[in-house]
Amino acid sequence: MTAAQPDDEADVDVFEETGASEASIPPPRWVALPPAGMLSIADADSLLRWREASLVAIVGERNGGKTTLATELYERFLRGPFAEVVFSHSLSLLGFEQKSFQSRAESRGTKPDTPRTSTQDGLNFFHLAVSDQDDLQRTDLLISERAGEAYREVRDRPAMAMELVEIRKASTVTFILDGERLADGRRRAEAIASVRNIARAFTDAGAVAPEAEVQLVTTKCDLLPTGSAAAALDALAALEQRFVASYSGRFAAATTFRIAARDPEGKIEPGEGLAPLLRSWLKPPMRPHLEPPRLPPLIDEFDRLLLRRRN
Amino acid sequence: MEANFIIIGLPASGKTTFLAALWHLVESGEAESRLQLDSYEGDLAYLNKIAEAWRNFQKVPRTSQVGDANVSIRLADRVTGGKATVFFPDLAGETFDAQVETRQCRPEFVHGVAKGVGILLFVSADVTGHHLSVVELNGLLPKQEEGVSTGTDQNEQPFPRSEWEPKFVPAQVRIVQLLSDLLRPPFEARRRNVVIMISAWDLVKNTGLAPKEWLAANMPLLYQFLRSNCAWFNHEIYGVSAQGLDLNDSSAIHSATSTDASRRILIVGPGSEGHDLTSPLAWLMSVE
Repeated sequence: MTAAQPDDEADVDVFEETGASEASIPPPRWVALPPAGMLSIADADSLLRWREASLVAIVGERNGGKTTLATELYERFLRGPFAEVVFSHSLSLLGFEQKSFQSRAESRGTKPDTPRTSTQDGLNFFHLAVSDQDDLQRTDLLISERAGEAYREVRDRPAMAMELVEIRKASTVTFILDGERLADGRRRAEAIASVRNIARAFTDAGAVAPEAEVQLVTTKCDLLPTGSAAAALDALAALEQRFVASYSGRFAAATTFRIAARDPEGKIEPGEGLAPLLRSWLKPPMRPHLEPPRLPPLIDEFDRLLLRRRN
Repeated sequence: MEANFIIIGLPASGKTTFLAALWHLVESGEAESRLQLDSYEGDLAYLNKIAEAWRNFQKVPRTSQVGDANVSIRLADRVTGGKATVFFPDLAGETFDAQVETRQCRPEFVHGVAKGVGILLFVSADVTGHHLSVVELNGLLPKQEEGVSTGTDQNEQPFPRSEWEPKFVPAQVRIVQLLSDLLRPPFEARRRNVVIMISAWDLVKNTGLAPKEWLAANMPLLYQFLRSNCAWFNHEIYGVSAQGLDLNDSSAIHSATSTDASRRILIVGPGSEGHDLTSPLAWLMSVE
């Protein structure tokens, strides 16, 4: 612990290059601006009071590519319109920047990377608003960002499924299947079990709204073998078929996607498969289905007067 | 009704050079301009200092170097008779960098963009929004021949990675953040008139692109943001070369000395090209 300093010394801004001649100049006054990093739950609430937004819950165990999916979407818009929409707004621009940085040459990395999301970060959101490139109709998305350990916990203790608020509020629940583990014969069965168990835990608990779309998204498809060694692809096709069969009818839609958001080898175009996935998220925000209230019979004169005025 | 304009932009985006050339243009009257000098307020030392450097083909000192100068120039429209004040607040480009990086701004800026103020936002053609990804950079490097060992593991990171800091945010993202800030408190959320001034236009003139096309190609996030938020930002895009030439090119300077200084100025707007630096201001006045 450092010793207490006089007030005038404690206020020195170590990042400011100040000369001796400026010592007598009073420090400029500053006005605080809203943060522009990842949105907390309170920030997301605040956004929703301002305008409607569709919530996309990205769900899966750690290292599956959840954060990379969101940041690579952002990277597409840094280069121009994407998926027939244009970038419109983001309250989490610096959050996107921070999470994207390790994929950029400026990071001095020899391979692209994405910082791991810590369990201590809890639940956060990326905000991305896009507009249709023709009629400029805007859609706001809140894309969830939570450490994979939390979803592993639900896989092990399904009773906790209702505690994860992003699932209950989501218009789209995107279950991530790690393509890297799927490609590895030794880890394939476990990768499939992981996504199967997590999807079952949330859906059986009633955490996913019936109005929501559930998706199975296989990431890192650049790593999936092709040709004669295509056991992984066969297993994936079978899983996709079972996923759609299990959840169609229970939810608004059950869909599957295969993506390669960022091929480290550069053999596949960046953002492969992301365009149809983003398009699937651009739907009106989910409104919970509410039964119309049942009115008692209106029989007295005041009620009749009211009804006459309405007619 | 009297209009007001404020000049803002990131460091080295050409704000001061523009002001120096504008002051010379309206003060000298040597080339026709839509707006003419009406009156001025405050100390002229700052304006004279930067205009002197500009006239002498010297690099115009940056706002952060010459310091405190809240400059106001009153202009009058030759056609409509309307009056306008150009306000150049004592806000160096570093202040706008700090706004993005530390999420705080100066109260003068909040007041400066109050109701009825048109914004001249400078971006430099010398600083584009492009940044390479690691994969793109690897693709540009010479391929390593198979079987040839370099003595290092391909997966090995030969030097430590840099950790993210706000200073790494690309220019186009910074500008989008600055404009996005205007939509939320402490700023008043309302429709604003904005001119995007792409400075150092002489550097990109030979591409044959119009300023709007250049912005779409080189700062695509900013272009998309402006396009999709036209309800908030009524905007026009200009290319400007207030310096007019490369200050290291002595033959270009020699040629330029044979004409009026105002003729060095190049401004390219929607469907027009000329020397009249007041044309974007006239556009802002017309949409007030």
